[in-house]
Amino acid sequence: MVAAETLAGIAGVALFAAPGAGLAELLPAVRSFPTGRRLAYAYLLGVAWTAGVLYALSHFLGAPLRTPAILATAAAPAVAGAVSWLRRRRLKPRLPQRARRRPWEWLVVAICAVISLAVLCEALTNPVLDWDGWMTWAAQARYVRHEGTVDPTVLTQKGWYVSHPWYPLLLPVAQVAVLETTHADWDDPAFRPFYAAFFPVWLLVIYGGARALAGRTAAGWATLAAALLPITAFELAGGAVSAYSDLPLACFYGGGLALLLSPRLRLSAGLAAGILLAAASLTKAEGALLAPAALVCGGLYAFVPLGSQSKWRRRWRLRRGPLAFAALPLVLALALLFSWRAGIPERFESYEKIVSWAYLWPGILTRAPRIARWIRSQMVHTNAWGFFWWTAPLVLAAGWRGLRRRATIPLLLAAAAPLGVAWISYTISLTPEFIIWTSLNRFLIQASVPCLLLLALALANLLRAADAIFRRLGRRARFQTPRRCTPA
Amino acid sequence: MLPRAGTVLRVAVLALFAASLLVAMERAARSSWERIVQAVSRFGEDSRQARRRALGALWVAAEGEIRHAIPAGGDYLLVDGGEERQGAALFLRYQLAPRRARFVGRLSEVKDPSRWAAGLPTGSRWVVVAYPSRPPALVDRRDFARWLETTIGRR
Repeated sequence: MVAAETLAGIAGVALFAAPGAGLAELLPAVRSFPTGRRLAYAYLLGVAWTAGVLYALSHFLGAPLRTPAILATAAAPAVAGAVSWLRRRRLKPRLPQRARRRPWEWLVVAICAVISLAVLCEALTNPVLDWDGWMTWAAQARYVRHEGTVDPTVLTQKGWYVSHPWYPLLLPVAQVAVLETTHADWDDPAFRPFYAAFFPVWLLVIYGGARALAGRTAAGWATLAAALLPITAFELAGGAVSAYSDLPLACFYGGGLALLLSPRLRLSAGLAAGILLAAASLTKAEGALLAPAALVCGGLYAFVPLGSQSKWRRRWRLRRGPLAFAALPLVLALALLFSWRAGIPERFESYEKIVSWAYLWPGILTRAPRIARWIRSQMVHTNAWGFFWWTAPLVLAAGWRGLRRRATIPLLLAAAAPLGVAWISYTISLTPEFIIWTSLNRFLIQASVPCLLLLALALANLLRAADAIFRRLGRRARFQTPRRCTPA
Repeated sequence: MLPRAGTVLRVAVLALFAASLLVAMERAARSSWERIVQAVSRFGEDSRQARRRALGALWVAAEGEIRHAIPAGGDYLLVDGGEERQGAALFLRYQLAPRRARFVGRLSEVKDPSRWAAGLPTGSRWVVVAYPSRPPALVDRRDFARWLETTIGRR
């Protein structure tokens, strides 16, 4: 790496962080988050806003994806946020300092920071070398950049050789935004730090969500477990060092879901969640299914535990406004997605070669044991997951009492949604073993945020047990300590 | 005063989980260290040099020749010299983008070279052949039948 290219990569991250910071300032629910969580949500909101608005402007109005449009789109919320911040600063005194971090928390922060730095170093040192990066996402970005539109001829005309032409283009548009504003050469991978930044963002989303649900200590453990997973950081097939879309999708999906599962859901939290879920639906094909699923989970939160009719009715009345705010950007994003796809001629030949819906029934039952065996062998692979899938089920089983919370059922359903999509695709696949081998880890990444939040709830219960034992041992040790003789 | 069995079991599971994190920490430290050291040692290397290092000087030179022949908005016919799962054609297509490709098939499927070459779609002047482990080849469409006969004959 050379200094100029490094700076271009970091400027690419700032291109999304700045409008995101503005949006975080304008949305009171996000503004009230602690710094780390606010930064993470700011980045996600910035990507969702900048790339999403450019996608819509290019498709509906034919706006060229060039520097003026990109900078104007990014500047609008950044300036509005800055003005709001200046006004608020004059009107309100500064809030008192929050609780100080304990030494072990600083250790977790340091470990996460070192791994994030290593991911950034990898992104700055090597060109794109991952399969989906060059097969789909970065290739599409080059076609979009060259023609300055999200409807390039390779997609809208039949006959050109493109992989997955119907895959949504939010992340390729984000790549184009970085490359255009930094005037990068075709081979300059200036967009790679933009992908690397999703790793610390993912950790902060997990920490923030887990802290709200299970407390600081359990959140720290869950975040450390997430940071140490080899696959999400360094795996070329879906990790933060690649140009795959699965980690960004996990961030948008998990981030939106975590916002919707707050007990007192505010309108601004609903809107922020909606923007993130809209981005999820434009990030990857599965996102169009996962984002509505997250919204349903957010609605379900009002009904568990059901209790008396008056109770759940009151809870629903309080949540329906914010949920409507969340649905609005998602509906707009789905309208954009379907309108954009309508202009792309069908090219499903490659899918017809690898799937058959005829397998769905009774295959969903008869193929289940074989699929489960292959999935198991993939999950216990220590190269990708370490010992996570060996120990996490034990933690969930031992800490089941911690799972007796309102958020548990929505979280379980949210974790099951991507895995359900995976299971159906394996059932109808003509080569399920190969498809499991190439895609299971990525579906697990998509489900990672709800899975780790459930883990945090179970860990909180185990930590309480450990705390009780230590307190008891401490009390006994105090009783056995001989009294010090005091001089007469 | 002894803690209950359930509590002890829960603490044992927590200890096991902590042990698994310790094991993972060693590996994460090694992976992180390698990447940070690599970045420091390669400071000053620009993206062109990085591509030469990662893809090979011969490969980058061959690709440069193709880029020179086909302008950025141009198109070409793409032939895969390897098997589908090796992904050579996909990789080359990305490297040559935004040049547009029409995929015409795999060398391994060619039975009759002259008939195969005669059946290529019209329009594009250049044929590019992607290989999994050697540099791509650029062939003028008019010479492709002859090139194919020589290559298939050699195979």
